[in-house]
Amino acid sequence: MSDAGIAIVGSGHAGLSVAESLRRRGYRGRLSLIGAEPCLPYQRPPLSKQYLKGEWEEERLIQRNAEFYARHDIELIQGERVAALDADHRLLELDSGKHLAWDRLVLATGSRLRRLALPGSDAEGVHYLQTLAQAKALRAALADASKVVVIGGGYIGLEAAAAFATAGKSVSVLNRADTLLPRTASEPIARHMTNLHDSRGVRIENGIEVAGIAIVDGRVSGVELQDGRSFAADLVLVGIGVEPDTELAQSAGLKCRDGILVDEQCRTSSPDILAAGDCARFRHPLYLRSVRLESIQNAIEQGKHAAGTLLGDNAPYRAVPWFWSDQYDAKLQIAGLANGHDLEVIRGDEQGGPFSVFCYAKRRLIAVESINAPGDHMTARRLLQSGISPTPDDAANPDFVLRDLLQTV
Amino acid sequence: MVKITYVEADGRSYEIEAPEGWSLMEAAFHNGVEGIEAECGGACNCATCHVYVDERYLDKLPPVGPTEDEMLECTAAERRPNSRLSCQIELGAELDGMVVDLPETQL
Repeated sequence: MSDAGIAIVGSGHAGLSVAESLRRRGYRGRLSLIGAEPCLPYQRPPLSKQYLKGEWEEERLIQRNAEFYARHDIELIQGERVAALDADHRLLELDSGKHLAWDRLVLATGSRLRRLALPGSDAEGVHYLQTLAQAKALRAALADASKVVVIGGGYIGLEAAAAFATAGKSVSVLNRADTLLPRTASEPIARHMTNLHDSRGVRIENGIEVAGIAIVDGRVSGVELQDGRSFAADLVLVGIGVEPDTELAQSAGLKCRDGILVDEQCRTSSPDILAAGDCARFRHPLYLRSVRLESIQNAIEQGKHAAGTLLGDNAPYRAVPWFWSDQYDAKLQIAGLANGHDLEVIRGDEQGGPFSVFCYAKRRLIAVESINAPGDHMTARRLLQSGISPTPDDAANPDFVLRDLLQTV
Repeated sequence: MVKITYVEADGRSYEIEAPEGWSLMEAAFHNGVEGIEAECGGACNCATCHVYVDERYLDKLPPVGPTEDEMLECTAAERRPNSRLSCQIELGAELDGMVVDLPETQL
């Protein structure tokens, strides 16, 4: 092996996690971290929360300061896209024309926004929210906006809707699916979030198809639906999901299928190339199926796992997925993956107080979704990691202490 | 600026100055203190920024909120009377000079 070292493409949460873990665990070789955005690696979750609400300034989003990278001898290449990956010669070509050699490579390329492809989509006043630059533009535009339409009923759309409503804007959410959070949350949670937004004056329209963006003088003036209705708007936020960024991987001939396919050690189909985070698809040992996760937790933990593999670890990646979303004063926390559940058990007070939805498939607990019940959430993560399923009766019984189940492990 | 000393479980220590208004977690994370994971970035969602605070400063800290209290029940290292989640403590002048001990593990 040469001394070209390890290169990491992507400086989001996954890429940074790989780099940090390698140094923390004593890797002393050359280490490059390449990010397309022209700033220090930053946290994404607050973009749709504290930053959008104006509570935090940009400086607080930065993850580690510049001195950190110098101290750990991490060569941070900022504001550069990787133009080409040559797996045979172990070379990256950057947009600037510079070449970077590597012995081992980690792809942490994340995801790409799905764009609205309808008439008027390019109008001024149509925003997206994935990067700091986009969040900055959105925050600036918000000051002069009064009627905001959010297209999409997923996490980004709802968190932004909460921030808009809190800022006193008139807000409508146009959602193609029949419920909010269709891919990720159970019905009781979707219902709760719908009621919550409703109580804050946010209008939610489910089951609609957007036909196009109405424009006046080049600027957005509204959103038109296929059913003929239209919603006036001076600002539109599109949050209709992302797709894994597999372009480099595909160009290098790596196996991809809605994500870069990796094994339990984060290795792709090419020796010495690993992948982690939003871009990676893997078989999850707890769920016995192939998954691709769009979450901070997975980005960080899979990143650590990839670093472990590079250092000779052999353990399979089997972390329990978890997610969170803060909207108004509601803390939604999800442990596990609820897809395919056949039984929902409510613990707590679904109407008023904190509650959790325990999701089972064939009597096995597969996910727990909590509203303002962090104790349930933390316990659920440990139950799922240990493969322990409380009986549905015990889960529903508020006097049954779930944590006691863990002490037998 | 507020000066805080963080002491890792292995004894390494960092003296850090951070702006008022930041959290005790952010000041550590920004400067690369290793004993704080802060997976959720400060949203009181992960309990991986657990610290043991200087007993002398306990009465200067905001009280433990209900969410923090529940999360502290689930930390990887043992909860002690001076356990806090560092993302829930805002730095103010009254905390200048505080020493914070980090647990052996956050995960």
